[in-house]
Amino acid sequence: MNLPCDRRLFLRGTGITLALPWLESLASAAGPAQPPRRLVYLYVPNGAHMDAWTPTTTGALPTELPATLRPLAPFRDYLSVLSGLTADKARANGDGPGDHARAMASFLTGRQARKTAGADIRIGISADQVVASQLGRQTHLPSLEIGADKGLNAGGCDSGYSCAYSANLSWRSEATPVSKETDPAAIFARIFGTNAGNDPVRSATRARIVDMVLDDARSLRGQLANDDRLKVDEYLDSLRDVERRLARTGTPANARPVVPQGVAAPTSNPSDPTEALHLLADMLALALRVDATRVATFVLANEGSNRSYKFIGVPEGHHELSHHGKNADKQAKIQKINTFHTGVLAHLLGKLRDAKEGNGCLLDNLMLVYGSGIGDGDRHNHDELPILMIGKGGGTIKPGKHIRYASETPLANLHLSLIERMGAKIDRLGDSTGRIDNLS
Amino acid sequence: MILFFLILSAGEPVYERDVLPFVKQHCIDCHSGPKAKGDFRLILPTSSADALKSPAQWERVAQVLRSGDMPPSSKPRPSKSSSDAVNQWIDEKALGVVCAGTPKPGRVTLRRLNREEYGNAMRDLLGIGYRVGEDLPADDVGDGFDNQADVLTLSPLHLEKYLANAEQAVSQAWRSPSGKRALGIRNNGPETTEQLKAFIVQQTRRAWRRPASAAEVDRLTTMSLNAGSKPEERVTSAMTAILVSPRFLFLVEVEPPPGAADRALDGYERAARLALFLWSSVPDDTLLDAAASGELMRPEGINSQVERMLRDGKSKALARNFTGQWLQLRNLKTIQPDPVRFPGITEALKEDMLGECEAFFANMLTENGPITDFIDSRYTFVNDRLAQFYGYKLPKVRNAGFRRYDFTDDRRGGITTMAGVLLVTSNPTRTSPVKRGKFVLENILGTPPPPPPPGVEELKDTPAARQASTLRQRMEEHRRNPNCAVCHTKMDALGFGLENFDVVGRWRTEDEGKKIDVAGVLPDGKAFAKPSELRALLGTNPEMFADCLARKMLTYALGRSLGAKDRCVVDQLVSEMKCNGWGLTVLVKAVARSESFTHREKAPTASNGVRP
Repeated sequence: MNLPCDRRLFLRGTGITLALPWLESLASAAGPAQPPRRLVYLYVPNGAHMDAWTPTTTGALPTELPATLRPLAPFRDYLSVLSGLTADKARANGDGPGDHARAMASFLTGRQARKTAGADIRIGISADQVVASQLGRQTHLPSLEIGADKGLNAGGCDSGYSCAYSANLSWRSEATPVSKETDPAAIFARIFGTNAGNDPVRSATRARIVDMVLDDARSLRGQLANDDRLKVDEYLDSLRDVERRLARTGTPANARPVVPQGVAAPTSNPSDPTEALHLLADMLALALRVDATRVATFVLANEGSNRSYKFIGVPEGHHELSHHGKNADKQAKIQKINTFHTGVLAHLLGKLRDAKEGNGCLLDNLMLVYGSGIGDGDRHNHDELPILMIGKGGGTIKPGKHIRYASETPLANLHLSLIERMGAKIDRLGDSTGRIDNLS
Repeated sequence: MILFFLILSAGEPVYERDVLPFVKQHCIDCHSGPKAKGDFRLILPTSSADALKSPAQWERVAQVLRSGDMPPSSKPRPSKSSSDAVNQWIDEKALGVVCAGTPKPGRVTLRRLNREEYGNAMRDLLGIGYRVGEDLPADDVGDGFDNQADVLTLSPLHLEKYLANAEQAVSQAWRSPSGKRALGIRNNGPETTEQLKAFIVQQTRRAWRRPASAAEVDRLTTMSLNAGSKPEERVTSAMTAILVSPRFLFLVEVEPPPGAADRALDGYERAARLALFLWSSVPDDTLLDAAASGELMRPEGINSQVERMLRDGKSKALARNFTGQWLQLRNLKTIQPDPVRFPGITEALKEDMLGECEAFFANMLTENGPITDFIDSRYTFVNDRLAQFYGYKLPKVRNAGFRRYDFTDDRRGGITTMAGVLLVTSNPTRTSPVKRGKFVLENILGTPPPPPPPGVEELKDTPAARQASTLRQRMEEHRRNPNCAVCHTKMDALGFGLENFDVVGRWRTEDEGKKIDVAGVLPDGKAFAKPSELRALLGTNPEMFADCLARKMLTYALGRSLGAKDRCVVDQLVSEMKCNGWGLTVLVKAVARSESFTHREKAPTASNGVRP
């Protein structure tokens, strides 16, 4: 996929006039035009080999980055390493084992997952969805959720926790995760819509159908028990979301994103695992650069994943290896997997750097958090998490540093600070105790 | 007074007399204070009123007492009568389980069709030749199954796809002869309003699994009349609306007014549940007619419909979806054994491994075979490729799929020695006796081990350690920690009993050049020297396995977690199997007739808001 550098240029080239929400604000806003900020979370499972991750000094990043972060060297001006952050709600807190499920479930929610294998799953709204629910209407998609793993199809996932916890990073509400899209072609279709959506006759029929079904669902709701109503509410919310997107079709100011010249929909899923992850990253970059959404999550592998990385010379299962028992050989292999993943991040950042906007590129307006809800895979600790922050957040973040926070600083404090920078309002998120400092 | 005491001692267990001293003597030494074993701390109040406030702890106590895991073998054993009394108190008092009379049916949350069920329903309703819904997000798994109402959530992504899938599939159906047949469309389709209405009446009944109300039919008719002037536009818009309606996408069971009693589900609700259970789809016209005639309100009516439905090819869905999840074989897709050490494990071969278990299960359904065959059998089912993998000599038959193979030795038998099960419980480069032992505990004995306590040291797995000793020796050393020994004594013995099978399930006698020793002793003292003897030991208590299987099947059939109160229905299922030669079909029918399957419990009031 080769995109031209200046997106306003190629938009003009295809005869489409400035149909982008952030440029709209240009006309009305008093001050100078600001490109929109974007909030993105990337998740990797099973923690990291921290010796090869954490810089030995704080302050300006060292000339030579720690081994695992080396693929990110070209982006060091955008990179911050945040040490000492803690996901307390990933700890047992009386609930016994299940660190993997809790690590994923608490990462963006700051909440303790209710321990249940099936009945009554309960966690809390996630940071990305706070922003999506408040500001998502500005873009074609309120948010975009991407994952490389579909999730286990049978059995338990972690010590009595439903697989919903270890497979979902984004939660719309306490009991409703946001499903990830795992197919690149389907992500492309979501960003740009299908042919049906662009055909006015079919759109009108669609709108009629949706309208009628909404009515029907509302009347059904009245006949149901309280616990069943929650399920119908999920349905109603989702259908309204579809309705909203149907309603805006055709209105020029809110037109759905247009496929940039030279960009084609992916036709197949690459069998090569590296290419498969890169293609998903490409889709994420594309969604951000055409401003289809400003909020996204990307799960590189589900928490507790035991996949083999034989294509980089690590045939063992990732989870199995992460219980390394301080075996140097295993730690080296873990680090190989970690470095493979930061390589995928570097691929994504490369695409975003190529996206020029304002006087710079998309990285200037990005706030991307990359990390895991587990520190060291062997210790299963939830303090000292491996967390990277990438981007300048529209000038509100000064990267290039290694910042060490006081021990037990909630990870949710970081989320809270970023949610605010996105322009959404929330007093606290999960176990947050305040905003994080030192970012700017 | 004396008389009163005698009655008490004969029947009702008493906390202060039967439970408190028992727990003090057998449990509290290890399970109290900051260093409580297994991270399990007992709260032991002196009064029964306070004791009743922590039902979860008592449930766990009952579980380990029943499985015999506690007290550990190194400590004095309580007498059977004293532990029976504790179990009875826990059941009846702490958990409120009293099985006299009609059992409580429980409640299922409004359940969404999962991806599999959605695809099958679209196939049956629209007569189209391709799979619909493959692009839907993966369904999350709860209690081991992907059809559990509480975890079947729905997001905008689903709705977008339901809409697009319905539009596309309906227009496909309109254009194909099989689709038109399925939709009952003749000639040009419904040309008058009356014909359109009749079409809508017929299709809502099938897709929504009950007759639609006149108002619903009218609304659909008006909407589709407005959608266009041609029959095609009207049919496709009406059908699309029917297929994105919550009445299709969810298993709707309406709530009776507050204060009403537990209610019998009506014929249509039972038909809808039966179709999901046995076909993972919607009812056919015959089943809907049985719903309308009242046949499904009678136990013998349910029996005969179950028999008919099992004879239908669509019942392959039960074999596929139930075994694939009970035995965790769906995870085969994500398992990648190291190709250097274990070459030739292709996707097709993994699919065959799944096929073996499905064919085995399907055959038992057809023949009402005894469920004890799952533990040990003298036969299995293989196709040519799998026979070659196992090294079996199978007579060549043209175009044959899976067929019965009778073993010529005692190496294998039942599910624990099937390649799919052995592979899915291995790590990519080595076998995992722990995972295999856990699999047997969870899926055969029905006594899942508690997860390991925190802060446990890992197994030594350096190359030097591997050189010096076998996996077994290293695990034995590891097990000296009494915190681990409790569960691992049993789990590892079971797992090591399967060490004659390598990562991918091939027979072996050596591992990394060292001779394999499979001999073991179960916690109750029974010893085995080879896999066949282990299977024989597992088969000595069919009730335990029957209880485990009945729970899994009930969970699957209902789409909800089982709670303590479901014990009563499970006990009925087990005793019905026991009295009828342990037949698998007996179990399926008993589930379909059970109180839980045919009834819906009234809504909990505020005071007893705990869900079953």
